[in-house]
Amino acid sequence: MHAMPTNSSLRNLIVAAAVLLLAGCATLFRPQQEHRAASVVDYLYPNASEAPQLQPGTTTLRPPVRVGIAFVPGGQWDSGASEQSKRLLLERVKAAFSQYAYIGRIEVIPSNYLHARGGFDNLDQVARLFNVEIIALLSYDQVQFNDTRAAAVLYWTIVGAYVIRGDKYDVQTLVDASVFDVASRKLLFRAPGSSQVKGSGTLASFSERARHAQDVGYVKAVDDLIPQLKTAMDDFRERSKHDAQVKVENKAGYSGGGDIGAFGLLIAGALLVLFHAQRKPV
Amino acid sequence: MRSASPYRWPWLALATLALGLAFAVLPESLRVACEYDRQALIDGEAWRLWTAHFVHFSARHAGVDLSTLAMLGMCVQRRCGWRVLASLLTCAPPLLSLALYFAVPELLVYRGASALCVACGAMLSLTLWCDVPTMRRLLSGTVGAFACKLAYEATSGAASLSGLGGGVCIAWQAHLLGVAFGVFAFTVWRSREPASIQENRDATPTMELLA
Repeated sequence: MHAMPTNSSLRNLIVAAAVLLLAGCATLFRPQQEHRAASVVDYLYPNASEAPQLQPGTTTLRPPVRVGIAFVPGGQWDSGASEQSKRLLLERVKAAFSQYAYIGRIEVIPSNYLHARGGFDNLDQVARLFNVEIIALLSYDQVQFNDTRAAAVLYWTIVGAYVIRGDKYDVQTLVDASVFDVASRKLLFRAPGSSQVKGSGTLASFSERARHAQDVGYVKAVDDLIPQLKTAMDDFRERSKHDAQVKVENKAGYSGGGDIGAFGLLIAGALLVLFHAQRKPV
Repeated sequence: MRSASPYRWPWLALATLALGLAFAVLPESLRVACEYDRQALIDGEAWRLWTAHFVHFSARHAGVDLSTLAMLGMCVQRRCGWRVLASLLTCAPPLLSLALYFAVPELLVYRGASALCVACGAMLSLTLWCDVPTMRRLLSGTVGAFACKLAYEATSGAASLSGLGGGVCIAWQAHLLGVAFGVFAFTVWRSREPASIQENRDATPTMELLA
C-alpha cells in the first residue's frame, strides 16, 4: 500500500510548479519597446538648467582642417552599437569625406575617450589629444518595437518556439552628425540620417535577429546620413563666404616661394656662359 | 659674319621679362588675386594656375627670378626657337601648379617664377649635353651645384639664400617639378623634331650645326 502525500508536500509541489511556470512565461514576454539614445545636448551641456548662451565671435577655419569624428557616449548601461560597429561606421564616414581637399587628416576617436556628460571640457581634451580642430559628433536615437503575432501561441508546443516566427520587431534609428569648431565651440552645421528595419523571428532566434537588426539600422542610418552631411557641408561652404562670423584663411607658415635665389642666379649665369662659349667658332 | 635676323632676337624672353615686371608693379591686392591660393583654386579661380608663376613676394624675389628667367629664356629661344619657348611658358605654369596642388597639399600659397627658370635650365642643359659632348664635364658641375642647392633647400627648408619674407618657405618641390617638366619638354621637343634634322645633327659637327 502506497503512502499518501501529506498536505505540506503537496503544497511544496504546487509552489514549485507555479514558480517554474511563471519563470517560463517570463521568457516569453519581452518589453514592448526598447530605447537606446545618446544625445549631443546631454553630452555637451550636462548640467544646463537653462538654454546655453551663444558667445559672439568669429570662427576661423584654416583648411585643410583636421577633423575628428566620434559617437556621443551614451548612458552607463546604454551603449548602443558595439565599439567595433561604431568604429566601422565612423570609418565609413571618414572614407566618404577623405577626398575633399579642404579636409586634411580625419581621426576616428574611440568612444572610451569621451565621457558621458563630459561637456566641452572633455571635447577640448580630446581635440588636443588627437590634434583636431573640428569634431563631428554622431548622436543616435534607436527605438525597437517588439510585437507578438497570433501564431506565437504555437510556442507552447515547444517545437513552435524554434519554427514559428511569432515575434516581430521594428527598429527605427536616427543618427545625427553635429560638426563643432572646438576653438569657438560653435556648431558649424549638422545633418541627420534615419532608417527603419523590420523583421520577425522565432522565440529562440528573436534576440539574435533583433540585435542584428539594430546593427543594420545603424549602418542604414549612416548611409542615409553621408549624402546629407555632404550637402550640409557644401551649404556651409557657400554660407561661409558671406557669413561675417566665419572666416576661412590659410594656415600660417604654409606659404611657399619659388625663389631661385642668388645661388640659382649664379648657376644660370654659368649656363649662359657655357651656351655662349659653345657658339663661338673654333 | 651672320646677319642679325629678327627671328634670332630673343623677343619672347624679353617680353616675358616685361610681363613679369608688369606683375611686379601691381598693387599687393592684385598680386594676392594672382598668387597660387589652394583654397581659391578649389573655389574655381583657375587663372591662378598660370599667374602664380609671374607674381612674387618682394622686389628682390622678382628681380632674381625674372632676370634668371630672362637669361635662360633667351638661351632656350636662340637654341630651340621661339615656338618651343612659347609652348614651355604657356604649358608649364598650369601643369606645375596642378602638380603642386596634388603633390604638395600643405602648400597653400605660392608665388615665383623659379620653377619656370628651372624648367628652362633643365631643357637648356639637356640640349647642350646632347649636342656638345665636350661640355659635359662643365655641365655636370653646373647640374651638380644645382642638385646640392635643391638638396639643401629640401633638407633645411631655409630661405636664407632667397629674398623671401618671414613665414614664407622655399617651395623646393616646385624646383623639383620644374626639373621634371624641363626633361619632359626636352623629350617632347626632340621626339617631334623632323627626322631629317635629327639625322643632320648626328652627321654634322656640333659647331657647324650651331653656327
